[in-house]
Amino acid sequence: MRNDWLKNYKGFMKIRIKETTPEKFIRLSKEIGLEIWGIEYESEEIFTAHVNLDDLGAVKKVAKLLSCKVTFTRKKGAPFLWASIWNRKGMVMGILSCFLCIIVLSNMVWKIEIDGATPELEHEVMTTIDELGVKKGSIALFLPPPEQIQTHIMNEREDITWVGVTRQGSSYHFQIVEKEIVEKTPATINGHLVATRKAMVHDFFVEKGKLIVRENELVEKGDILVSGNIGKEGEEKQVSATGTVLGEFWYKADIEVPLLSAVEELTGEVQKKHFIGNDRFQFPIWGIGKPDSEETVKEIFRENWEILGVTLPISYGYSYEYGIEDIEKELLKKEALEIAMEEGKKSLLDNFSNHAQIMDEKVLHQSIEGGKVKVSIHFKIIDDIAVRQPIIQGD
Amino acid sequence: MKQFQKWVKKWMVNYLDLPADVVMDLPRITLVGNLHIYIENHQGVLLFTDKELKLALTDGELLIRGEQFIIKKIHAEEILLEGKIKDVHYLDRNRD
Repeated sequence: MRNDWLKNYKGFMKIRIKETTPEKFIRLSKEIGLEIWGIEYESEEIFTAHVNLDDLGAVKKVAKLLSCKVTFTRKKGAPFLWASIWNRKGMVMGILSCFLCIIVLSNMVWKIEIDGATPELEHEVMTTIDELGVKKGSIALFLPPPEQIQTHIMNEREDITWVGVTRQGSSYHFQIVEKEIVEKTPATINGHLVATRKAMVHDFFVEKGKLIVRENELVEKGDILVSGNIGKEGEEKQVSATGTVLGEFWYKADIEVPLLSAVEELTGEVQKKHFIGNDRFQFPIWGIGKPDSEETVKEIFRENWEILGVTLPISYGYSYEYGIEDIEKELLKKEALEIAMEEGKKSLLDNFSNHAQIMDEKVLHQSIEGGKVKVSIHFKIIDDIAVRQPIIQGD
Repeated sequence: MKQFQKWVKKWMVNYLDLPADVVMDLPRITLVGNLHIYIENHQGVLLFTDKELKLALTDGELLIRGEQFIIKKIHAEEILLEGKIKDVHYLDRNRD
């Protein structure tokens, strides 16, 4: 029993011997030095035994000397096992490469998430970790541990207060806390608040200073709204007037919007067809019928088939056929006007502060010239009109 | 002379306390219940069927009878037999 593993390693066979007695066979194999075991008696002059694969020559010799018949009934052990594996090498390779794929793919970085950073900072952090090798497709096994990445980012970037790096399976997650850069408030200078434009005072809120205007009062550009001089007459003190004064004013905007030249619109009907062929001729495979619309437009997508670098003249492709319909010119004009309104509002609000509100709008004039719609619009706007003006000493 | 050798060996076994199987070239037979029989110091297989095993000894023969005999191992001087062992018979050549 203690030599079982050795026998398995070297391989052994079960043989069936006919036309001789076990005694003779045992005696002769003992003389020759053939190792046999597991001898079983079947009937007179037939028995089975086990021999090593290495002793095949000796078995043949014994068989020749005794002129008996030897048949091999079973083959066992590593050499035979290897042979059977080798016969199925395709399957074995498949299984192995499957495991390899799973191991490699599950160790790959698939996703990098950065939380809590502005887009610019996110991009910069991305490039920083890219230098470390942390990017999509790299093998996580060869990457430094999250703690090391963390300290690296902390050292590299000064605008980050804290960064937390966690690895969950195949994705890295970065939690970033940005350093808040405190904006320096400009040193307060003693001064008045004056109007930036001609407007009607709509509302006001004064933090500091003396209010000079009243509600619904018309002010010109440069008029003092809130004075920086406070206190009784003669004992005046100069302060930095702060507050907001909302003024109501009109603003005229001239906007040009190109009129859409295409006067066709897709109806939404689509018919997909598959074919084999080229741009000129298409042999249909799948999909019949046409959109119900009178006019249609066709889009063709085709693959290129190559054999040994030569592009075949025909290939598989598919086409979309869309139904189209004309659009009335009046409709286009209306649409252009709407677009003009939208754009006008947008560009308008860019010119004013974030708090600006459009109260009313009025189209003054509209015309179509050279494919463009020209619109003049009057907007009624409420916005902060106050701006600080320093008090000039000695004035 | 042979008689004298035999006498000396017997004396050594008796008085020097040496194991008899070593000194006198006798078979050592180990039986494990009726499942295994292990014989050392045999001189060759004389007969083997599934019911019988006859072994040659230095002086005499050993006959083992039973059922479903399988020779598990066989080496130059030892043999391991498996099966249902019913009786072990010692045939002395000198007496027969």
